[in-house]
Amino acid sequence: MNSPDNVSAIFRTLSQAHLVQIGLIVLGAWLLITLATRLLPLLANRVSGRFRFYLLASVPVLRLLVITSALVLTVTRVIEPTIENLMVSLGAMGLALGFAFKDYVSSLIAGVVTLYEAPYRPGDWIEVNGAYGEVKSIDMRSAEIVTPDDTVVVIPHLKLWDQLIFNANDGGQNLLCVADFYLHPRHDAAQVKHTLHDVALTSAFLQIDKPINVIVLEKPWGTHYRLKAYPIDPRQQFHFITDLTLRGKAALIEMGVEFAAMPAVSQVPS
Amino acid sequence: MPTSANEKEVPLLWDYVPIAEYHPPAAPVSHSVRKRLAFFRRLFGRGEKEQEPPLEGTENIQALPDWQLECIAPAPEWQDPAEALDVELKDWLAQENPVSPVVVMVGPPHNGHCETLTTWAQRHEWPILPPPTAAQILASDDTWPPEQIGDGTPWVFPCLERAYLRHPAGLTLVRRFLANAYAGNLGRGIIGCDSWAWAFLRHVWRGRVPVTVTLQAFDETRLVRHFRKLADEFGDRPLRFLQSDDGRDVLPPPDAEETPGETSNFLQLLAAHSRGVCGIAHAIWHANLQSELDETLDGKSDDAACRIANQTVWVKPWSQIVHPCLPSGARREEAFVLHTLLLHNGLPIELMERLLPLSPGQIMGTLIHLEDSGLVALDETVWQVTPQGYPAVRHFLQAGDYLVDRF
Repeated sequence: MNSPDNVSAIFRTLSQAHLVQIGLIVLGAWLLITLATRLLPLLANRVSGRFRFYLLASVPVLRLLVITSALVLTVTRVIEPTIENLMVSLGAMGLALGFAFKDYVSSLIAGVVTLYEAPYRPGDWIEVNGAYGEVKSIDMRSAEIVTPDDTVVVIPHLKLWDQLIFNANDGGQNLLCVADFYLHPRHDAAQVKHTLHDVALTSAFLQIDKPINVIVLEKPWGTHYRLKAYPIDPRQQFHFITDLTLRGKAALIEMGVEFAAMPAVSQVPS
Repeated sequence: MPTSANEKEVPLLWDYVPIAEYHPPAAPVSHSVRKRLAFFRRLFGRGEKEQEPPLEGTENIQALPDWQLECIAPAPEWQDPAEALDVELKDWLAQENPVSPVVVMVGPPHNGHCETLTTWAQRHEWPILPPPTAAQILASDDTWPPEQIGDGTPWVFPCLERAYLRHPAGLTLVRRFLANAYAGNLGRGIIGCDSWAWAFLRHVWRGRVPVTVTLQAFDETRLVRHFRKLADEFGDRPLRFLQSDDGRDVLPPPDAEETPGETSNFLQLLAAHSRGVCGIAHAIWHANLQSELDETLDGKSDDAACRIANQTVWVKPWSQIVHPCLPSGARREEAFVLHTLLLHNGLPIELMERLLPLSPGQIMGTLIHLEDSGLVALDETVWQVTPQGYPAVRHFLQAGDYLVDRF
């Protein structure tokens, strides 16, 4: 059994040189992480397309690598790096942290899993618990997203265990946008479908190599059209939907199609 | 015989080929590496550090005046490419009922596809189909094309990019025209189309692809022959083209007896930078010819126009040429304006206001910004991407994942 003497024996006697080394390791790690978290997003904003995503996604991975390296270097300076010593010290640390900071540690572990499973990466558009926005950064404990209303939402990685996470572009450039149109039931549906397709095809925001779809649904109050297409840049999704809506409405008015007026239709006696 | 064997290997200067056989010229590896390094320097916020080698006799060398440039490097005449098109279309023209009633000639901007087809039509006395007006396009006017097209007379429509607008109401007319033309309802015809418009129309028109030809890229060999030919038509005595920093020959010396020294790779770089587009290469060449100051020349007499000091034209070194580039911070507005201009091969501002999701003020401001950068220019009422600016614009749009042509 481990007596207090045995436990203390696994720790090295820390000399002043060791303390200086540990200080330098911590300082170096902090510098590297600060540089990576500031410089890479700056560079990412200077390039476009998929390179932006690669650069943004590399930030948390780099941070994890730096922290792991710093921990290994520090631990080997504090204790004798034998298997037994490591097992004992990690076990004791795990027990203490498990009781005191259960959720915090759970978030940290989920953060590591996040890097491996990548349910979201910087640059992705995700929805968690009703909050929708672009992932700006992934820290060790939480992810920060910025909503379209420019509000920062901090989401602990802990949510990964038991919440549904909706990822709209999943690490890529392809983010499907939908513009809805609600029309009075009396119209030439084929012609409207064709016109809405051309509305998307002629949008300056359109990623033209991706498919354009028009879904038509007949409802009690009229006809519901869903125009689905992909913008060139996921960040332009709201401008794209606005553009589709404005030009779609203009084209439909030009065609002489009436828009659904729900009360008017629903008030017709059956 | 070795001579005839060599002659066979020399590619045609103007050579029309199926699109799949188009090969853009490649840049030297060293130049590509330098470009990558320059990209990373820009990424880290440091401008490109160009070394400025001393010019030989800098004080005496000056840009050639326009009147001499017009003699040494006149704008291409389209007779030669029109003759080359004859060669490519020989079999098709000989067929009484060709399988494909329509041939499409696709070319990148500034490659003269419209001028070539117009010249070709005049030589063969085929009627030229006038493009529809913007109002006709937006109303999908069924009186276009005119009724006389389709009565069996062959026709030429040199600028298909003028028959559509990227607008929900701007595609019906071109779809109808292409459907009728490919079905043979309009008889035999040749359609010219800008490569960017063609890339877009391939998404608009999903029918069978007709016979499609294009002018083979102007690589280094073709540029040497092209510029030599133009220069040889100048004056009585042949000119020599030397690079102004080290005196290396840019074009091989005209005199066969002269021992050729080390030649510059200027034209290889020019071919790669211009992506083999003749008009772009010509514009850059035109802008970088220099000569020693000769005060006896005033440009007023024909004789003066044909005289160059020491019969030597100095060419600015490639590393010293300042190419137009996108303004720093160029983003969505610039991309939209440039992309729309390329998709239509130039547009007046009134139409841009109808096509773009930008306010008139934003469009005008962006155009002025781009004009100051040398990327666009106003030709009468039509804004166009300049030949010198085209390579940078294409690269910018490609990097932003916009639809680009395949040339």
